[in-house]
Amino acid sequence: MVRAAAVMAASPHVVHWGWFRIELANLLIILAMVVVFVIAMVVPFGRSAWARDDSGDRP
Amino acid sequence: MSGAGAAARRETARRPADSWTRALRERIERTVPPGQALPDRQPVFVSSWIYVFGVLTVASLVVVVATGCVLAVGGVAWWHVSSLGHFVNSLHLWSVELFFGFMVIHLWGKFWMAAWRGGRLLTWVTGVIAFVTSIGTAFTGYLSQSNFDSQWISAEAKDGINAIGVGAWFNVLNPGQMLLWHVVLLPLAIGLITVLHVVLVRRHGVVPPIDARDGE
Repeated sequence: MVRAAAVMAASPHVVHWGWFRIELANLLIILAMVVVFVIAMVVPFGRSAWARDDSGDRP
Repeated sequence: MSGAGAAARRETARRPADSWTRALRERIERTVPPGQALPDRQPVFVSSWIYVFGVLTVASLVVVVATGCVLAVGGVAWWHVSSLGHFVNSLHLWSVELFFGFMVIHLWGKFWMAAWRGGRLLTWVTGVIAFVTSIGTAFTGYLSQSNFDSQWISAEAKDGINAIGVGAWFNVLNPGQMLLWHVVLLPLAIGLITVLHVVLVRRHGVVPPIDARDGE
């Protein structure tokens, strides 16, 4: 991991799509954030006592 | 009639009606509904991970400020000459990375649920201002690294800053000015905006999903 980070820091890889260009590290961070966002939307929060409580009184 | 009750009435009678302390207290009491400042109950729809990223952003900000205070004790060049300083500087950097990551995911979530609905426009606007101010704070942080990287960034940035007409007051080639903006003015601004943003969230409540029914 450290070696990979050092290699990326020494020689930035740039991705091209026509007029669009972005450094690979920035692209990976953005993709990771999108993945986290999607996971936050689809993964259940958990069965908390507060969500199950029909009376509305949290313990 | 109790003696305490009579004493309280005499105290009330002596207090002027236009007391500024009374007006301020009542204004504070009106700002957030009773029980909503630190609530222990939330609507069912809040039971989703997407509602966690706001508080994660605030938690990251706390770590950013705390590590920044430690760096301030050691000085601007401390992290160049001390392994402990380097470690604290890394904590500062990575907590900033997490701060921005959490804040952007929070922004995405609130944008797609149109979080400005229901009288929450000012909440949305303060969030936007906090985001823009955070970018400026991070920028001045990169200018305060006291290395060739900060020199390069300032040299590249000066033309852009001058082009928008603020170079005379915000000189990116002046590391002392940039450091003071980074450690005093901008953190103070972010702190105040964040407090206002959180107070507005507590005042209006968490925005419900667009398709939520009443009482859900």
